[in-house]
Amino acid sequence: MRASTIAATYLFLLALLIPWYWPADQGGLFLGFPLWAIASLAVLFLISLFTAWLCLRDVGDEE
Amino acid sequence: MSNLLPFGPGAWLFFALYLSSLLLLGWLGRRARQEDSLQDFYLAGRGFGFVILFLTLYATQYSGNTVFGVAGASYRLGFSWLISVHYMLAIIVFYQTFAFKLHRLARQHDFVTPVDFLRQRFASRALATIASIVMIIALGNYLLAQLMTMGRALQGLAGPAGDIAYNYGVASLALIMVVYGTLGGIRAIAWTDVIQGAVLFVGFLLLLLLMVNQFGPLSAATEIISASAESEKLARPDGSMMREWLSYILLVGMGGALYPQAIQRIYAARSVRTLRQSFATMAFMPFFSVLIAVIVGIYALAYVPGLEGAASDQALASVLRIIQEQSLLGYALVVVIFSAVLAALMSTADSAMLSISSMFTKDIYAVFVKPGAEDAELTRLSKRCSWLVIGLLSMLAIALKEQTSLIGLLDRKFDLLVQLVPAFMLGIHFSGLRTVPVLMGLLIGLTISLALAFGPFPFVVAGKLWGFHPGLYGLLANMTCVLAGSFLMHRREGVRQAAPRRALAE
Repeated sequence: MRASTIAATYLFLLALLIPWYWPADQGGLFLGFPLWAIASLAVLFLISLFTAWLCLRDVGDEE
Repeated sequence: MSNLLPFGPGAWLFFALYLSSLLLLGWLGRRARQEDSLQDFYLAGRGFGFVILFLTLYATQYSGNTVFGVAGASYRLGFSWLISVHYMLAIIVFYQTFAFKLHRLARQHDFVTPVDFLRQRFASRALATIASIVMIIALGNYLLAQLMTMGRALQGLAGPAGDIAYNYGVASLALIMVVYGTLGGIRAIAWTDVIQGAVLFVGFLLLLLLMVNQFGPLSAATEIISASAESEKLARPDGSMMREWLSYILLVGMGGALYPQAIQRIYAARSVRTLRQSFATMAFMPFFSVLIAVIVGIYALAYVPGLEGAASDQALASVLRIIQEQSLLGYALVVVIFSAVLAALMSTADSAMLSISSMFTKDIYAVFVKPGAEDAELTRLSKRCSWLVIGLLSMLAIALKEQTSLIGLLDRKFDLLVQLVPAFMLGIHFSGLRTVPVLMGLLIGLTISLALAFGPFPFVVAGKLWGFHPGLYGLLANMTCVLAGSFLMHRREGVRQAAPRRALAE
């Protein structure tokens, strides 16, 4: 994957991480978390997965 | 932790055993040394495997602030402080931009301090010295804050003798830290980090279990908050807070990745493979640590309402006290969690201490005072330097006992550290980056950051301008100077080289 694609993916995920798109007046809870927080944590988990994948994808080639 | 009940002799015996194990590891680290050199003392012969590297990165990155500072902030701001989970992951994301290449260069050129890279890349003594000073100031402030928190942690447990306990707490924990740190160097510190990292991880999981067991599910806590006057703390962050989110992600992400002690762990990794595996695991740690601290803050908001101002920093201690009073098991578990707090504080502080002494010895003394000094002499000096740094900062921590606001003012370490982003994160990839613009950019960035942070500007509200930290404005000017300056220099050199060729052709 090219560096520009990686940077674009991170920027896209960053845009979703901050819940600007979530209606300010919409309530609702899931497992004790507000829904906007669940959305933000779900995106954060995607960032963790993407980061771990980036770290591990070249492990075999480098040694 | 002043809201906790004072601990009994059993708990103090447990702490004494725990602290003795750190001293034992210091002694074992000294026995395991291979040579009397800076490479061995600060990088343990560059032999950290996955388990040690991961746990030492984890224990160093997650400080005492992660445990109860985040819980206190979540108590004050509600779910908006989820940003603390995000910025801890941002540090790992930014590591990827330079860590793997830096590791290879460090092996190739025998780097010991972060500034060794700058010296090799830019060949500028001025740039290397300013970078060293910036890192020493940022870390000195960080170490002072950890020492003061150690004192406060023990102050709260000593009942009426709290004030004396603060002084003894700072002095005794600092003494233990400097003994094992100077005995075994980074090898001893990494081994203690394995214990401290494990205690911290178990402490966080235990904390979550205790909360659920004591108060029920998180949904019950948020229902209570929802029905109270604090219900706005469940709401989505407003526009200003969302700008702060972006600011924290960028500032802490970049600044945290440039912590000197973390860079030295990048050097100390056995291979790029180990480094990659450690970072991949670290990418999930915010969910098992900071997120739990946020959840604790929310439980405290629901079940211990009414803590105002500085008292809200006692949110964690307040809920722990409820658990402590319930049963002997609850009391024992709180002792383990308190050990985790101590582990978080000491593992961060010892690494900062060692980094400061390495930079002072190698980047200042060996450059300005005694160039060409023998490695064994520098190693001896760096140990004395650790004693001196810890001695001075411990005295300062005791003298500033009541000055919490002063520490708050001094806490601009990330604003300073991010000014090194162009030199490290761009400098490692782009050979076109020139020394003079990088040096000028660093100076401009530092000036703007400090002026905005400490100047009498009415438009700077709560240390931020339009929700963004001063360091980011400084970094913007810094980057502009670096990129524009390097481009212009490159063009001018191109014109100069082209002129004789044109003359020859004519």
